[in-house]
Amino acid sequence: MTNQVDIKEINARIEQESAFVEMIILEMNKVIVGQKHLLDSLLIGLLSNGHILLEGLPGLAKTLAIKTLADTIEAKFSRIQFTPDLLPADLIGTLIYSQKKEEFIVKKGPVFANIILADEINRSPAKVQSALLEAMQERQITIGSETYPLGDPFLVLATQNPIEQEGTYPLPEAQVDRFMLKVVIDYPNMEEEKLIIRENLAAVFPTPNSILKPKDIVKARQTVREVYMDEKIERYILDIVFSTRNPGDYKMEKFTNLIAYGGSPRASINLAFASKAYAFIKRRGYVIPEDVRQVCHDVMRHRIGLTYEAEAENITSEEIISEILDTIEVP
Amino acid sequence: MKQSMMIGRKWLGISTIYLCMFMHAVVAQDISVRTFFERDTILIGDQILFSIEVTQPRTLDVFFPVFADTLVDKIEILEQSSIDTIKATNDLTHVNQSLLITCFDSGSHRIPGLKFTYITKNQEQEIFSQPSQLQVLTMPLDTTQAIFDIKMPYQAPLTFSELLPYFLGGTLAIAVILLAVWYFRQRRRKKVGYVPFKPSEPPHIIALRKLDKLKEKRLWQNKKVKLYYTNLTEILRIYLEGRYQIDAMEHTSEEILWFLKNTGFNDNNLYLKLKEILQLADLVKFAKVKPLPQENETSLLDAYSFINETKPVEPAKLSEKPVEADDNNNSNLEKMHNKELSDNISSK
Repeated sequence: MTNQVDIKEINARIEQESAFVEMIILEMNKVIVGQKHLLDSLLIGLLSNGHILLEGLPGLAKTLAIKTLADTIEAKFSRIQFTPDLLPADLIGTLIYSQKKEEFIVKKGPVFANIILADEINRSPAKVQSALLEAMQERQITIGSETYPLGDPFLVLATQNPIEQEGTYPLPEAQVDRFMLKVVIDYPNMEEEKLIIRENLAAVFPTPNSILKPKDIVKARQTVREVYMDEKIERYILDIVFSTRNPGDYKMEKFTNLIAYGGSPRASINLAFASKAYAFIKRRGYVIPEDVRQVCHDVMRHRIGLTYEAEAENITSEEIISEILDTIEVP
Repeated sequence: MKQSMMIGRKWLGISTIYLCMFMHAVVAQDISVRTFFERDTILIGDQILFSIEVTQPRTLDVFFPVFADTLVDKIEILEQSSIDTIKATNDLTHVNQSLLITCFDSGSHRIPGLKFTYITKNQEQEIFSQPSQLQVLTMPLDTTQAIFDIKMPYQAPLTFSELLPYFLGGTLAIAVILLAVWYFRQRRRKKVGYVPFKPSEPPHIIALRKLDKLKEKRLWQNKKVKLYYTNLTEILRIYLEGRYQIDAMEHTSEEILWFLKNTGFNDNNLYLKLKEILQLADLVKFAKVKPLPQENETSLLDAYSFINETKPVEPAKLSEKPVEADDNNNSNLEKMHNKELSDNISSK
């Protein structure tokens, strides 16, 4: 078999540079039992510079997983518990008067970190959510007259609790779209939960070793961008996203009245990025349809707006995405 | 004298009462009004006529009282005739009206004088008829007789005119159904006539034909390797859809292989051949890999091999093939047959 030079070179480089992925997963698995999908999603977000919205019931190791990830990459980690009385200044920082220096000095907020865990983001009002989401988008913060760049890597992992919706401020669709992935975390299986019980009873809590530094992640991101994506894959991604906008064009007329709005161009971009990152995690230098299908649910589930008819019929965006993947021809 | 005067007064009174009871006629100027019942005594529920007669000058208009549905309380009007005018003499006219009445309340009912109006010398004048009396009797009860049960209504026999609409409707419905059946049969016959029946081809025939065409196109020889593998995998995926009912076109190579395993496919050699083709095709399609010419040839041959070895075997050929192809089989069968015969004989 004779490969073209560029692919061969990319493949070899990715083979070499993605070696840390297995090590990170190994270290994280010391602490986290199960939740393979969550770990993969965290790595995808980290490697493709995208933020993640985590949705899951309390006690599913969301915070622990994020903290462990931060530990493995020696990144600065901040956890912000969103409450109804939180103010934007509590998040981004503010100017305070120093009597000693007789001037205003900048007090930076917890958002100045590499990995931010915005716990229960929907518990705070819109002004605080906007402050964080703006920081996510711009990757810089302005306090007073000075603008400060945020750390690199800068990864925000926001959690939402699907229960106890009373007194919450659901994120608007336009702001949800800024999250690259929306990951739904499920319960561990019986075997995994047995291990969790044993570890807790034995009070053995292993600590992860730091594997690499934040600058290594920045470098790996460059390599992820170089993962080869064929035109056929691009076409497949576009077919998926366009089918959410015009289901009738893809022989899915039944969804016309169920989808209020489909994926934005940001959905196509993020689907492509996430597919590349997934291929990188799998230590491949090229994207195959399998990669697109693996990340499709996480990228698309918060980008499809459902109509009242869909809600009345209890049809979820998950079901629509699954049906789309089973209908559109794989290249 | 005094006695004769008393007798005279008595007769006068009787005659006056008689006139009041049966004549009820009132005369004013030249107008006379008279009302009377057909009979003065009726059984409860009987229907009788109540007549009104007015004699008047021809030039005068007399207005009759207007009745609703009762003549007086408890005396119901069933029908009212129109007011009829009959010429009596040159100067006088008779005007009649009759009302068909009934009463369901026993006892004596008094009908007061009815008011008639007319205009003379620009003045409205009134004239009243004499009051009249109607006696309504109940059915006499014969307590000497035994009490009988209430008789149920008699069942009236069905007549032909009653049945006729149902008969006609049923006939019409049957005719419409027969016509519809005939129409659809004719239509189907016409369709069958135009479109000859064509049995659908089995998936392996289609796949093998497409592979032949792919070979003829010489795509990889003309440096169209990607198109060659796209077509090759498409042929295989369509074949798998038809042969194993796997939605192969909508699934990835890994998923196809997983589905194939789930169908109970257990030929490991063929499974590996298919896996190699699909994996190589993925590399060509998505990773710009250019396989060696030998690999291209092998992929096509493996595809032929996979289809030929997984195509359904026809039952007729199964029984014919060993008999015709192999002479040893014949002798083996003969041996078995002879052994069975000898076993049977020995057991007997």
